[in-house]
Amino acid sequence: MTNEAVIFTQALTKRYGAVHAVRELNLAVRRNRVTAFLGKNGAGKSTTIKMLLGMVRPTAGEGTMLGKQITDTHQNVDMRRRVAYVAEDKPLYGYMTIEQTIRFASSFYPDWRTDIERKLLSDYELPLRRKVRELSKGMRTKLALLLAFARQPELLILDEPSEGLDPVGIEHLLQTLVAQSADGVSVFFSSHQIAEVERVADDVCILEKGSLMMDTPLDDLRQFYRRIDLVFPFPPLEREFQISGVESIRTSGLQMSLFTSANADAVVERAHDLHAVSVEVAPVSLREIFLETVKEA
Amino acid sequence: MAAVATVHLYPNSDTVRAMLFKLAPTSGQPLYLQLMQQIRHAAETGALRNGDQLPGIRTLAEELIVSPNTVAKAYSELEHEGLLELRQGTGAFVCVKQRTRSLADEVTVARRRMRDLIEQLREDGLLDAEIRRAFEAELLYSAEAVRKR
Repeated sequence: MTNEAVIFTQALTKRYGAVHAVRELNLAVRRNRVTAFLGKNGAGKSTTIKMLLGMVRPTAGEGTMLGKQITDTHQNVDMRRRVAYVAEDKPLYGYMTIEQTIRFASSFYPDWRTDIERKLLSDYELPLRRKVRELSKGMRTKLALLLAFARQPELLILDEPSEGLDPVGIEHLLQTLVAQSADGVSVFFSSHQIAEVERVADDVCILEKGSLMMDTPLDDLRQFYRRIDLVFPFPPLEREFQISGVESIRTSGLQMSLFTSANADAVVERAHDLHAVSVEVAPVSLREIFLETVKEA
Repeated sequence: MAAVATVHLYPNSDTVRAMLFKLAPTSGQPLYLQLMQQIRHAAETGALRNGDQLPGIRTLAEELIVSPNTVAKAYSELEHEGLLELRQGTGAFVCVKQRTRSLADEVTVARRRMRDLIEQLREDGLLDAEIRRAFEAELLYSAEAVRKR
């Protein structure tokens, strides 16, 4: 496994007047991985992606994508040939039909994969002769995804790719995403569909108010994050549980609920020492981890 | 939310059997470990036989809709353990040795001991739900303690 980063930023910052959209972001997205980029609306995900692609100029900091400086115009041209990007608003030419759009887009790429194009046309059930302006939101999304997937890029960047898709569409999208990953494409995507992210992502980055709150392999989250519910014969003291790895504590009467990112066993041991009458340890879902992470910021 | 894949296996004989892998993304266990355990379990119970072929990384990843890295890691760890043999281009083949078969017997013995313990706890007046919670807490606790060592 290679640890080379396909996206790398150092103190990347974007200010709009007094507002920090992105604040000193240090990001390292690994090659041949599926990386999810999570955050609430307005957390700075789209601004970050646009800076990476050279569409928005950073206020400070720097970064590389596929080894190319993101702020260098010449390097940017070369980089964008190897990166496919599906924007949140899916800009397409309304007067073209689906067929014309595909012919037009494919003419730019000598490595265009007609096999992928054909498979997705049938999976997505796209009507070839319909004009883009007459497409539903879901169909626009599917067309934009087809254009990106058929290029078979080195790096695929998707901003909210499942928006407007029904459950069947999402299933097809995830399947294609997995297939692309198997072909060696690195994937970086933002999404609010946490349950879907939880299935396909290798790594998870969480952005909150322009700052990176988390950058962790999903398997580590599964393995180490726990919710521990305790009941004591007497009101417990929170300071007894100031153990590293304890992220938050809630106490109510004789009950205590802890959220831990590590050291669950130490917490359980302490609880036994303090004569807890009930100790329950449960794994936590990515949704809970996400909510807990963005709550504290 | 479990991802399910029906995997058709073509063993040495001409019969085609179907097998089910189920990965639970929120079960608190890395997905590659879940897949490893299920393949191991299938080998121990005889659902997978020596020489059986597992689907390729790409095929299984697409069926389960999980990252190909998950399948690749499970396969390579199992190759390390000697349960799988990975052949370039052709896929993953099961190598069941004598030892894995006796594990099935061990599981049978373990279940008998568990049954006794559960019976005893019920006699002590514990409800099934309480026994289950205590069991799961202990399992999680000891697993984490072992991992730390």
